[in-house]
Amino acid sequence: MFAAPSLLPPPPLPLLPPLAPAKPMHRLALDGGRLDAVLQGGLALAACHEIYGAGTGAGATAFALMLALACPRPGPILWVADGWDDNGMLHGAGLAELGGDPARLWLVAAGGVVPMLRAAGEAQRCAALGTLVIESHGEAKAIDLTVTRRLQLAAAAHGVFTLLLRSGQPRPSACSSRWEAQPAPARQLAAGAPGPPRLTISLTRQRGGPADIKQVLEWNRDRCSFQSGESRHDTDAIRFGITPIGAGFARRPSNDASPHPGARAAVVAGGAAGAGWRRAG
Amino acid sequence: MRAGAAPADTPLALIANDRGRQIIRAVNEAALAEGIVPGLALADARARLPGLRALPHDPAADTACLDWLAQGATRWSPMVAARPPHGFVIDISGCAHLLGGEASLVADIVTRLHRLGFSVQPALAATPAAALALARFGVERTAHLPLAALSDLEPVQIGLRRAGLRCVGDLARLPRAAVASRFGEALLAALDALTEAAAQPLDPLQPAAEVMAEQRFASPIVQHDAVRAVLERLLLRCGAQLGARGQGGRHFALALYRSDGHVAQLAVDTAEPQRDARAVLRLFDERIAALNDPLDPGFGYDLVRLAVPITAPLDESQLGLDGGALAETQLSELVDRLTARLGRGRLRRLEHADTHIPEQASFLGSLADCPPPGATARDCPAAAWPSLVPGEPPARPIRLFDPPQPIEVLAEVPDGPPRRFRWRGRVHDVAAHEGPERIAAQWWQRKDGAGLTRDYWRVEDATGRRFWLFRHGLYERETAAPGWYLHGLFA
Repeated sequence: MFAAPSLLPPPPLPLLPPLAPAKPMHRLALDGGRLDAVLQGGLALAACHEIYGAGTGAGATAFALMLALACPRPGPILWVADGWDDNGMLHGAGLAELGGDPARLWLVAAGGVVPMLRAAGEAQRCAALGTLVIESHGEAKAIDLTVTRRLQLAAAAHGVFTLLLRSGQPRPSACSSRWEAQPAPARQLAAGAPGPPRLTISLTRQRGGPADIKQVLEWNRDRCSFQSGESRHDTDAIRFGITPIGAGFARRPSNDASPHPGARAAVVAGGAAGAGWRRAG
Repeated sequence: MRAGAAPADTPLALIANDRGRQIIRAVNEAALAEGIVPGLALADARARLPGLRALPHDPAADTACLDWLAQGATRWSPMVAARPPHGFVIDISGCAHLLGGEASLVADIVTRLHRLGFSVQPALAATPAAALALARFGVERTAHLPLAALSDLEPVQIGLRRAGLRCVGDLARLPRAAVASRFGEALLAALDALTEAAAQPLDPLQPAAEVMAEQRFASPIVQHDAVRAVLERLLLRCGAQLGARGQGGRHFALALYRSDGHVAQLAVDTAEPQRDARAVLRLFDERIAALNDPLDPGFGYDLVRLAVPITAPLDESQLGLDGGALAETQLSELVDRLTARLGRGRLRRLEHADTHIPEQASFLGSLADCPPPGATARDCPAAAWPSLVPGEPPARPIRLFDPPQPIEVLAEVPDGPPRRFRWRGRVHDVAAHEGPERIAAQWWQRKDGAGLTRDYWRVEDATGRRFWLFRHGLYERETAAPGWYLHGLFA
């Protein structure tokens, strides 16, 4: 199963053609390293990406806010939600502390999944918008393959960077990529104080590209960008940055101290981009 | 009184309970002809007329019905005011010629109200009070009005009669000073209200808009497409009026008058002054699509009116070469469309309040109220938010709980950091912490000067999740057993 990449059969023809390599300006570099290599230069801006968060969803919220702040597109960040749940309201001072301008964030509580999707469709047609974040709570079965395909096509047509925040079990979708985000232990500062925010980011699906890559990213609020982070507990992640597919990651270890059991045994040094090739669609 | 509850020739009375007795409040013409008058007890009335039908009197429904009629009466003039209990006043200055003169206007009013089953007593006069009095007493000229039109008080009326006066015209001929000294200023004011001596502003249902366009139809229109086409024409006409004034509309109100008297009203707001017919038409489309109960044309609309009551200066603009103005236009159009679809209250932005109490420092303001600047904070200076120290981790959470969530905490007394806490049934072991950041209560705003101090801790649990906890109160100095709360989630 985990032989050298050259022994793998050639990747089957993808159902949807892989995204054409865009100009670097149209991509958002994340860690400047392997993650960007796997993403062919960074996260495509004219696309819809879905982000799953576990528990309170603070990791997904944070990842979406950071991506929106790092996105080079000017214009406001429109945050459309079906309603506000019991995990707290977005806090202006907290956004300012991430390096953003809270006045850039526009909030819309649509009051239901269908009005939320309609509002999102309306917003995607406005090319002057910087980032659109769609936050759904619960299962949200209305967000199916058709809806996500529509979001993806509209994002590609008008160029609005679209992020779809979801919770629960991953469901079929036509989004450009699927991510899971959760908080990671931060670098410790003097006197044991927790340092800048760190997130464990997993790319679990990518249309026409390799997936199943896990990376710890640290947010630099002064430059409004990510940098590759090193986990306090997990030296493997420091050394390799990327954990290929099948290394026990599919079983999604929960929040125990070592997030990748078995990673040591299966790590392919160098982790070539082809190692985790999967057809997506 | 509306017919329909009974045939018009059946005596009918509306009754209400008054100190244990059933008193007649209102009667129809058939009952009046039999000598039944309001104020009579129902038992006495039934003694005279055993077949009298009695229904309970509902003043609230009366008022609602009168308002409904007054809304419908805006078809004749935009200046309409309801005068409970039974009347409404229409200011027809400059409107009568539209229907071929005062006589045919009155005839139109009477016909339409008769068709709805109301009995009408129309009156035309120079002032609202005079018109109401003429209608009430059924006389032709103001001078012939009885003295009761001046004052409801019995002693005043007796005094006037003793002075040899029989009608309003007699009083008007007397010297004013003498009237004032003998009967008081109030009577003179009542007299002035009936004559043209005093200005009497009408308090209309809706303030008349300066920019307005309307379209009447000889045969009512029913089809949605036809209504839309009419709306587009009206928008173009209003747009031309606005353009001539160098203004744009912020609020567009559409009134669809059904031939049966009902009025359907729709309105859209725009974030920026607007006079582009196509853009506003799209907002109306959104508004109609979002209606819970779709427009019911019934037998059709015979009058469609568009008013622009709120306007703001709007100059002709030239597109900038950098497209900045274009982006602003697109964004304000997006805000308008979302507002029309979802309602004003659902679009928010984060605003800063000058306080250090965390849950009050950031609040949700309305996005539609302040015109959205492109992307930058033009009217929300960044200085209002805390300035950042480079290299430091964030000191405030991205999600805040309001109210804070109570938690169980294991911490050193009196003011040690939390070591372990339980939130929503799960135990979190604190792996790293920073604090305390002490935030005092706003003692200067409280009369008793009290309030508990909060000690905030930024903590990280073993799995890497970061929380914002605080101890509410200082041990022994403020409280014996301070509570612990979770206030926010960090990135």
